[in-house]
Amino acid sequence: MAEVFASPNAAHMAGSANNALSVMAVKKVFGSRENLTTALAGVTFNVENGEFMAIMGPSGSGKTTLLNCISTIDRVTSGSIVVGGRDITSLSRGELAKFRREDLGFIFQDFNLLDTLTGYENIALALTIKGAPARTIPEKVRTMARTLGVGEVLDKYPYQMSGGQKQRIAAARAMVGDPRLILADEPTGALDSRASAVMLEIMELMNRDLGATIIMVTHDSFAASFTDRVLFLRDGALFNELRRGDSSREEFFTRIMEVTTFLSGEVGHGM
Amino acid sequence: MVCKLAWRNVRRSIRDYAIYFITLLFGVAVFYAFNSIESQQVLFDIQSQASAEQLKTTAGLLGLFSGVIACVLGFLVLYANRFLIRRRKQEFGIYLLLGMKPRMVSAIVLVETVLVGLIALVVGLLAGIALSQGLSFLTAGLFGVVMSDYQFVFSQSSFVSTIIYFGVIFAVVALFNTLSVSRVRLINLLKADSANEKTGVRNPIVCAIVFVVALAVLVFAYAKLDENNLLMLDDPAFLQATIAMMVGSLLLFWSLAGLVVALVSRSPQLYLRRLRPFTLRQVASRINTAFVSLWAVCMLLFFSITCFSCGMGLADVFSGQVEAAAPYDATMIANVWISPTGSTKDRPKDPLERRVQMEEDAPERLAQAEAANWDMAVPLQEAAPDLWAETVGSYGQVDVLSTPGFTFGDLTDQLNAVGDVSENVLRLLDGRGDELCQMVGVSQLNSVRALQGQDALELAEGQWALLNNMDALDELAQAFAKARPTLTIAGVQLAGSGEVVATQVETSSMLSAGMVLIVPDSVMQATLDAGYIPEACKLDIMFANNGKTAEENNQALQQILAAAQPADEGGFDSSSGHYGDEWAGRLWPVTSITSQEYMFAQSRGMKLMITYLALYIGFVFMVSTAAILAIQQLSNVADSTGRYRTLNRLGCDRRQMFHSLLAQTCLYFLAPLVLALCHSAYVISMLANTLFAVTGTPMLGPIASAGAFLLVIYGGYLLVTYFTSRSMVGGALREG
Repeated sequence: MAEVFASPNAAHMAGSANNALSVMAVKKVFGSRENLTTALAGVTFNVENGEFMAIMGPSGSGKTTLLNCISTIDRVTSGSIVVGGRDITSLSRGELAKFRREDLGFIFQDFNLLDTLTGYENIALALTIKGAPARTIPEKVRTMARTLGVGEVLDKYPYQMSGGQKQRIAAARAMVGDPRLILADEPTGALDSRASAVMLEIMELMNRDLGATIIMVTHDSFAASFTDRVLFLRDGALFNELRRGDSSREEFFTRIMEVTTFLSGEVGHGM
Repeated sequence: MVCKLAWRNVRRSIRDYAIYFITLLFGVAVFYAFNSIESQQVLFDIQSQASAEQLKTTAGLLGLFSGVIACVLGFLVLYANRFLIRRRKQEFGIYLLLGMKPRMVSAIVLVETVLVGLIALVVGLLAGIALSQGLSFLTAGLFGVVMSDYQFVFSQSSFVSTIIYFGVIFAVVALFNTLSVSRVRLINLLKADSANEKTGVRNPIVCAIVFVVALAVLVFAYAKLDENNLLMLDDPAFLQATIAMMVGSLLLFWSLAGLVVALVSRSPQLYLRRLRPFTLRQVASRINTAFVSLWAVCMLLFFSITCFSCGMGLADVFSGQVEAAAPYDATMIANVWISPTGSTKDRPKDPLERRVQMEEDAPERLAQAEAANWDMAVPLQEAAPDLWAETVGSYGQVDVLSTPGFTFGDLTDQLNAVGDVSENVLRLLDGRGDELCQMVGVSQLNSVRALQGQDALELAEGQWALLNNMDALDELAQAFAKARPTLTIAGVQLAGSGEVVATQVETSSMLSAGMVLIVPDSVMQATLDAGYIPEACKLDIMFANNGKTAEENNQALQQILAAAQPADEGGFDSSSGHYGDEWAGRLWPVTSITSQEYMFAQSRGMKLMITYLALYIGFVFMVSTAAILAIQQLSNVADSTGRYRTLNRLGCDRRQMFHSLLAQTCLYFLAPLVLALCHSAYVISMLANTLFAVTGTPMLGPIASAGAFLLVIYGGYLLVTYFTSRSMVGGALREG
């Protein structure tokens, strides 16, 4: 594989106005003085508005750390992350919370729905904590739920839903507030293959029809093949980047598989 | 190593233990303080034996209640511990997984329990000792004595009994904990966290139906209470009301959460604001699973509030009347002859029979009395003329006679003939139909009225008036006097003067003149001439202005009595009413003696006792209920830290979360409180209408102090719970 984009690139750094996200030279170091672990060793990339992008990499490659930094759940050691023209690494705690509820939508591997609330309330929560006017909420929630195919389970509690339904409720919750960026952390990790396919089609729909910008972390090549572009991380650095271009999903899947096979083979040798 | 691990665990989970520890500390401190009351008497210059005795009685009663209190606290400690252990199951599971022997884990838990208990006991005892110093000032205030010489009080007996009671409680808890840890399976320990109860909400329609039923049952309970008037506790209506109130409250809690959520979520305007859905669901799921304990808390709170405010009111009832009930310095009473056994049950139907019996059994007394024409002062004066003259300033005597041929049944008939008397009033005379009424002569009455500085009552020949100062009988007395029936007594026709006189004719603890006829002296004399003997003679005495204290004068009266009827004489009496050792109670001239000093001391003692009982029980119950709520709420927060992490990720800021926490804590604390307050308000207003209004006791003071008490303790626990849960959530957010 020859396409390596590991170093910061001036053209990327400029960050055009069309960028939903610009990650610039982000480093993250864990641990204390004697025992330092570098999780991210300077990562740089841009995500354009309306893009559906996947980040892949073996365990320990730093992909979840990267997502946590973008989602402001974790802080970077150095570098900057710009969302909507604003560097979010320098925000205060209160501003971070505001940023998360205004600009971000989350989809987690284990759904993270509130088990005491119904599907409806879980989705509505994304709007109420923003302080959205109460009278507009029911309509928005129902429309979003219908679009994502979970209009029927709105009055059920999470424990009454299937995994796929839970994840689509979570997707609706992420979408309903109309965020700049949706971050999905292994969204199909806890789903069986059928539910995974449904979920990925839903995400494709969110991206294509609703115009959502989505960054998905996954180790599943099949899931990644639904996206426009895949970034490969290894040992905390960008290792490769694949663009789907005009190729079909199947072709893209084959290309992704090549990289992942290479990566896992290399890891296997390392062991 | 066990000790080291246990100590580290306690220190680390200090936040979990805080509420438990504080409550335990309160329990120990209050337990010690109230049990140490007896020792406080060294502080006061208690001159009279009477006051000292009252203090002893109070201490004895408090000691008795301490058993109950210990049970409540023991239950609380067990309950709190169960929660603490449950929360740490995972930790114990890890110990076991790492290969620690179950015995070792049990030992750690044992050491922890003992450690916390020991610290609470030591600190609690210190606090209790400090508290009991403060309490002694309260005791002094309630007793109306000045603390002559303050000194530090330490009660060894209370100290020992506190240690024993709490030692037993901790031993039981330790046993329970050890068992509960050693008996569970490893898999359950490790999965304790994920075993999440289904958190659905009940069917709103069923909830609505149950809610309506609950309200109906409560209305029924209130109606039954109204019927019972809280006057007779063995009335079936009272039992029904109690059961209905308990069942109704339980149903209300069962249905409340589901109904409220169903109603509120109907309105987006109300519901879809900030974290409201989350807050409401959190509380609702709590109430749904814990409705039984909330119900128990509500009932205990109800009991505690009612007990506290009514106890304070009752204390006023007992002390409020005594001034009017004990107008004379002393009263000597002769219970002339009641029956051969001295019991009113064996009293002969025919009053003339009493004389026959007395002639047979106690001829000397009868002879002596008739020789003096029933004037008690005559034999007493003779026995110790100098001491009498020195001690007694003025006196008056009232003889109470049965009214020949006029019973309460006749009185009821007279009232029925008039017709406008309510059933409730007439009910007071039930079962007394063939009892003869009592009467006193007008000049004798005037002689004691003069002692109190009251005007003489004018009563013409051929007229009767009525003597009554008992509030409960007032309506009856007024009705009867107003009806003015003409009565034939001892063959004399008497017309009603229509007047009701309220004069206390003896020194007693309560107003005690109830429905007694006042008749002209000629009627009294005619009755005596017909062979009647008095039922009682009462000699009211005001002490001479001789510079002696009341206690010294009372002792002088005892000496006079000892001279008139020495203790070793014996042989005359079938009466038992004497409390001095130097003199014997007799049928005549003196069976017993009461003094104003003793009555005042008794009423102060009563006030002290009731106040302390109300404080003691009210405090312990309230602290226990608040602690249970606090522990439940905190464990709920601990179980939902994951939810707060999710909220945090979704971008919910801390302010909103803390706001929700505060709302949750308040709702959870207020749900049982509001219902308890409703119940209490109803019961107290009812008591205010019956008991307290009758005795003229204002209820505002007791209610205000109960409110302040509630605010400080319950509110304090609420705040501590809120701040603790806030820091728990804050900690959880930092971690993840």
